[in-house]
Amino acid sequence: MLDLIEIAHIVFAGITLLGGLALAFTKNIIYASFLLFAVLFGIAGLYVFYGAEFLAMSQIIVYVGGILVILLFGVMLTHKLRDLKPKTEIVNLIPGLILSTGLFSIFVVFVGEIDFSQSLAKDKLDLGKAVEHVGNNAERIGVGNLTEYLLLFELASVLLLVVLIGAAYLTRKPKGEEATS
Amino acid sequence: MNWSDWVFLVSPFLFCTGVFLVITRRNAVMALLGIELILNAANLNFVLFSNRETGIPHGQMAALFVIVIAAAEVAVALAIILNVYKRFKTVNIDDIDTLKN
Amino acid sequence: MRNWDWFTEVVVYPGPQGYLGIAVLGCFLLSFLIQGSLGEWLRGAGKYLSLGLSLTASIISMLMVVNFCTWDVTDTSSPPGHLVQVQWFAVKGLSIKAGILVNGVSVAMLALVTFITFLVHLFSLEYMKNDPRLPRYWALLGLFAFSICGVVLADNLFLIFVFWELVGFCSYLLIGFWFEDPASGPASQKAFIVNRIGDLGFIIALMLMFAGGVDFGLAEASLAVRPMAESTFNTIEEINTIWIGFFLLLGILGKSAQFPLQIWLPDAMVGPTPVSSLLHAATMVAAGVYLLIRIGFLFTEPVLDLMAWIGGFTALIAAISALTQNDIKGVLAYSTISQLGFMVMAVGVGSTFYAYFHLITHAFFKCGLFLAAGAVVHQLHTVQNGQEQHFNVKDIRLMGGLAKKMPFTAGAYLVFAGALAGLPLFSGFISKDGILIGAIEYGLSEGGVAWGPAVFGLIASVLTAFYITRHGLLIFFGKQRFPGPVLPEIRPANWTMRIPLLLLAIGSLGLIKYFLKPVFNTSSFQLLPHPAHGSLPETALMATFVALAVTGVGAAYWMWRSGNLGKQERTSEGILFRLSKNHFYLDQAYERRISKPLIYFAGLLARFDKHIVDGAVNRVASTVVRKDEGWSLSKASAWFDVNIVDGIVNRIAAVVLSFGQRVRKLQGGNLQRYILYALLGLLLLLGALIYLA
Repeated sequence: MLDLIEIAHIVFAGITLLGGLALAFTKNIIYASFLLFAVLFGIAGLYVFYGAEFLAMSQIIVYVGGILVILLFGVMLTHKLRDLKPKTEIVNLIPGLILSTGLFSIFVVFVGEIDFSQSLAKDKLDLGKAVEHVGNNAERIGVGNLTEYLLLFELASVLLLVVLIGAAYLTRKPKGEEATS
Repeated sequence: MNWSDWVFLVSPFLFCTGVFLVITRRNAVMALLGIELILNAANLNFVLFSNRETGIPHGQMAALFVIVIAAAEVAVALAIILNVYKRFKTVNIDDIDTLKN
Repeated sequence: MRNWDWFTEVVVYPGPQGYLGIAVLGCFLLSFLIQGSLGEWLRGAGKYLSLGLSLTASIISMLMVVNFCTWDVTDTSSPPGHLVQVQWFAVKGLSIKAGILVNGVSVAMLALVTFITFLVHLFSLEYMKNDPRLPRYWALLGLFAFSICGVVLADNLFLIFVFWELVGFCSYLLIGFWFEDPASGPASQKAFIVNRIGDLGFIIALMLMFAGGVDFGLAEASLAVRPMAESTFNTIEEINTIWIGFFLLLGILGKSAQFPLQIWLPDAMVGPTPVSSLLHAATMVAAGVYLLIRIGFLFTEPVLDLMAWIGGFTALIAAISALTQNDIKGVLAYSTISQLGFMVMAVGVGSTFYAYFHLITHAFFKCGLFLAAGAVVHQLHTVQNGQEQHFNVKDIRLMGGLAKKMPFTAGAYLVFAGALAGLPLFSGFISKDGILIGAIEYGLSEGGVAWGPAVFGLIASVLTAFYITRHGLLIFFGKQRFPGPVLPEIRPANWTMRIPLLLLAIGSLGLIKYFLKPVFNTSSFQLLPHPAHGSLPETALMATFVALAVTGVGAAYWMWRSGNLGKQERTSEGILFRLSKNHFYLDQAYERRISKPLIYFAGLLARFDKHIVDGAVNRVASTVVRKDEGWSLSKASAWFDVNIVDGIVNRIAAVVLSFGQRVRKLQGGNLQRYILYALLGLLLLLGALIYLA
């Protein structure tokens, strides 16, 4: 019953879940960054199973290639490795645990309540066949980007530009400070 | 609940983990990791439910834009964290309470 | 019985004139946008840009008036065009169109507003010359003009409300323009908050209209809520109409500074004088009266009665207060409230035409009075800066004899003052005369207590003549009372200040009637003067009014002809004097009855937060270890402490303090805690949802 694809699916989901779980309890920020990498990689894998190859690639390129590197930069810049250990203290442990398990159990109840066979996803969610699914994924997203989502697409590009400038501005050295630091 | 419904629980799990991280870590970078997890959980749900959309996959489009926003957000957030670090010499969230009082 | 014959529904034709209205709006919006974004960069050229744009807008609106006047009603093939409309948005059961409705009322008002805005721009060139935040000033003037023109032109109440709020917001910003002045912050907040109270009424009225199924569009609503005289309403029930009218009136009372919401206007005088002139005398406060006239069809008899009383009462108490003010602008502020009271009263008693006419004449002469006062203050200020002298340049007790030095300003001032006092040959005479006759007719027809507004109005008009004479005598005539050699240094106002004064003075002469006649005579004008005057001995009444005004002027002249303040000093101890000086202690009453309790309540909440949530435990701790005088547990136990269990008290205190620290964390400024509590709340909600489901 468990065919190969489904096993692969479970493996990726496992990477994601275990990565998340470990992430929740590690104190070392460097470890945490790499665990996040594992989680994001697992999610990218899951995307493939849900018929979103393009997104999977974007996930790896943007998150793993971009965001994670920036995060590591952030860690290194704020924790000069000699004088500050890249560890973080944990606060609010008990209430946090109560909250997140509580939230999760509520989600479980919700998922249990909903009969997915009636709704859009379940009967269509034929994981094995997801890959040979309606046409070229990248092409459809490309068409979407340039038709219905054109405005959003342009806005996103403007946003990125603004962020580029903004981040550079925020982290610049004020003019007077060069001599002192 | 059907046993094969477990696929729908991956993203709630990630979401709760993210919330847990945001709440329990003193370090701002770690809280940022938590936010990334939350965003990814939402993305995963979008993609999962847009599984068999024909034509333009709206769920995936949403996820794509979320990724864009997340990239922007991380860049700005880190810039802010660096500034905070420069100013307060710490990145612990609970040490930064200048707005209090 | 009021005359409703003249009140027909709003005529609507599609056509190009609406686009001219949009062009006017566009001019001011452009001025705002350019000054707001590029103002610093434009430097000196910026002011000419704003000036040019306001001149353009003024010319366009004049064109609209001409176009309107020359329109032949019988020629249906080319109507001048009254309405431009687009679908704005639609939600279930409510479709809001945004549009421009040009009719006689709005076209004349638009011309007035743009013309005066232009004059104020011109005046500001000199007055605001040295201000460091000049682009901001121009930008705000532009935004204000944009929004007031929006109020004038908008074709539905929803849109009017949007612009209405914008107007209030601009007023707030401009009152607080010189925010270095510690008085300006509270004054601008006061104006904003008091206006908010009125706007609450406006919102409620809009909700009631929506609930009652009345379209927000003026044209549609006037059809839905038609003949008032018959008291039959096509779509909504009468009681509902009364409430709609009542709450709309509340909104108008706030904006037009009528009792009981008039207290913000005198304080608003801390803003720059051209601003006071434009906003708080000529246009913004008049917007309330304008709206009364524009949506007059929404008011039913009970609301109109209330309106007449409120207007008359406000006119009276504000005139009384103006008698004793010493601030050069304070007198004019109370005078404005009083005159607006006249207009509201006029609408209430049914002589809407004269309310509108007085709105126009008042805009001219009151704007002129403010600008003349501004010229005086400006010149005194210049002298003061040159001499390094410090005295209050706005205190009329420290002026006098300025006519010799500023003859042009004084001459213009005399024209404005004559118009305000209601002397013959000046514009104010014609309009105030009409209002008073309307009030008397109202008293005659209703009888009994309905004479109230008329009596109020008559007394107020005597007082008006009195206080404005005093104001003028103390500023311009008599012997000078400056605390130093100021008078020889004063220069006359320069041309950018004189031209506005000249134009306004021309507008304040009785001649304006002939200019306005063609506008009012077009058959599409909605406010034809009602022809019922025949029943009254009009000439005799007019003579009476003139006699009253002359009495006021004469009395004031007799008291202050020498510029001697002795009489004022002698009376200043009387209770009436103090009531007048402090505007019947209304401010203080509000302060005590409303502000204080509110602030106290807020403080109570804060204390609850601080002491009960946060520091209940700290309090216990401090009781226990109090160091100062009086009873405390530690004192009481000192003996016990020293003799028996050394240190136990301290230990209790420590325990209690640490508990207190824990409780404090609830509000500790810790971001993560806040998120935690928020999400815990969410969790509880979701849990409850599941539990209930």
